[in-house]
Amino acid sequence: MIRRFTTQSDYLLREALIGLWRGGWMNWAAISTLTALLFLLGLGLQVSTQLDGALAKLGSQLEISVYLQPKVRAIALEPKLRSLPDVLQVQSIPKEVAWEALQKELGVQGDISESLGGNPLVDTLRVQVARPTVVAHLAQQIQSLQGVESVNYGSEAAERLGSLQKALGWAALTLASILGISTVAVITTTIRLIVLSRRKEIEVLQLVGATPLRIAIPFVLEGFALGLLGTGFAWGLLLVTGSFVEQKRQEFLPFLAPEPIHLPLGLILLGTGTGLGVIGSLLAVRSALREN
Amino acid sequence: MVGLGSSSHEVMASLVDVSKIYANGSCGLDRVNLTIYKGDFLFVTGASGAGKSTLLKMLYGAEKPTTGTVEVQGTIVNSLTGAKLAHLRRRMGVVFQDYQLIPKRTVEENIAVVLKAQGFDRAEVRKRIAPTLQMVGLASKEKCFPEELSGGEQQRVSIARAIVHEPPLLLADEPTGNLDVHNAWMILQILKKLNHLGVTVVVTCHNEQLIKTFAKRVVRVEAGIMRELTPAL
Ligand SMILES: Nc1ncnc2c1ncn2[C@@H]1O[C@H](COP(=O)(O)OP(=O)(O)O)[C@@H](O)[C@H]1O
Ligand SMILES: [Mg+2]
Repeated sequence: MIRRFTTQSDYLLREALIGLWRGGWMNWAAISTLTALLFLLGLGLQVSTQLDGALAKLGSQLEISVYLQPKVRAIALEPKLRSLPDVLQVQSIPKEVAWEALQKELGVQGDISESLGGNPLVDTLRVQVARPTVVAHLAQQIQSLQGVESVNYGSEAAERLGSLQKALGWAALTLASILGISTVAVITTTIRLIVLSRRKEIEVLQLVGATPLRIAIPFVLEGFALGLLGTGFAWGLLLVTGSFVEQKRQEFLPFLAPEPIHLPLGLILLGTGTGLGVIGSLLAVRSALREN
Repeated sequence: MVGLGSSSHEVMASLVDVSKIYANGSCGLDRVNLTIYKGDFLFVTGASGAGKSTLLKMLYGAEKPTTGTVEVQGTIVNSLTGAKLAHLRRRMGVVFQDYQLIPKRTVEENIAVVLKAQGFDRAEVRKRIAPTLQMVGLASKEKCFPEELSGGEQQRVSIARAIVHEPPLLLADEPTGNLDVHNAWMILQILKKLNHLGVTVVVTCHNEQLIKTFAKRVVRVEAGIMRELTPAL
């Protein structure tokens, strides 16, 4: 039984390799569509994880920034804010301090307040909140206080990002399905051409007592191999793109935390790639086997 | 495969009231009854288009009967498909009218195909090919491609392929059809030898002169209708 299995897999693998060899340039058509699909899928998933990460950070932020009206001082409001429920800590940032920090950050030499007609900033306060569930309510409460110009808190941005992510998700899903279907079509065509070029052989095999499974397996293995190669190339492209983006990020957005490309992403791509390869080749041989 | 080269009364295959009307309406067989016994060397004769190939196709399941029952080695062939049909075909050898050799494979590979499809290992495949080629007189041609062979040689390759797995039943469709008398004679000699080794052989042949020398049992098909000729010849 085991012996039989090994001799059969020996023949089947060899036949699959010969088939790939004979497929020639058609294989590259299949592999490149597959690579394009998997690359886009990988990119989409990567961006989505990135957004997830950002969302998680924003959503769990327990800080409300309070911007005061001009001339209202932070110190004056601090006790009032402290007395609100669920407030852990309040930090005042006088506009003078903020202005100095900003100038330093922008690399401004000397004092430019003169040319701007004074300090353009307002006093702000940072309020640390105990529980994420009360952030929105608390922010509203603070907003209605005398002297408060506006408030800003993370989960608001998180909500906006969330709906953006949803929209992107749908777009990506639609694109992936369309690409997925065309990939299956291209793989089916590729394997179908290989099947056609070996039609005589298939016919003979059927006549001399080869089971349909026995005839189909080499083609399915070919589809699987195309899937593997497509995944390999897509993975390579993703790594290259990833390192390029990372380089740019360090240049332009050093404060954003990077999200490395994970192995699970690779497994998803591998599953999708080989799955589509196998489906494509099954479709191709099924019709060939039905002809007789 | 213990045999004495003579017919027994054990049934190898049978057709009961078998008719075949093709999709385009032409009649292949018309209510044919035939019993083939183990050890038979049966000739099926008849003019071109009479239904000889149709008869063999019924036996190896390439065409389904429109009515009637076809049974081979205890298996009803009528509705057999897929793996089950494949397994039945492993218990027979077929020599096709048009050879059915794979063009870009050598003689050796063409014969090995059967054994590989049936799960023989490499050593067994190697062991069987040489004696089989020897038997059909092609020992020196194993590395040739089909297009490098004459018609008679291609025909012998297809015989080698049909017998390499030692089937108890051999179906040969006009194996002498395109050959000169010398080659035809040689092919029939090979089939006779196989019959002596115990193989049940069914041969179609439109040349009744040729048959006379070898005939043990002859049936004739005319426009799908079959008649037993044996006593008359
Ligand atoms: N695949 C087919 N489709 C339609 N008609 C067929 C087919 N095969 C054979 N026939 C018809 O069936 C009849 C018997 O054919 P066949 O068995 O091939 O005759 P033979 O082998 O005796 O020359 C002929 O009239 C032929 O035209
Ligand atoms: Mg014929």
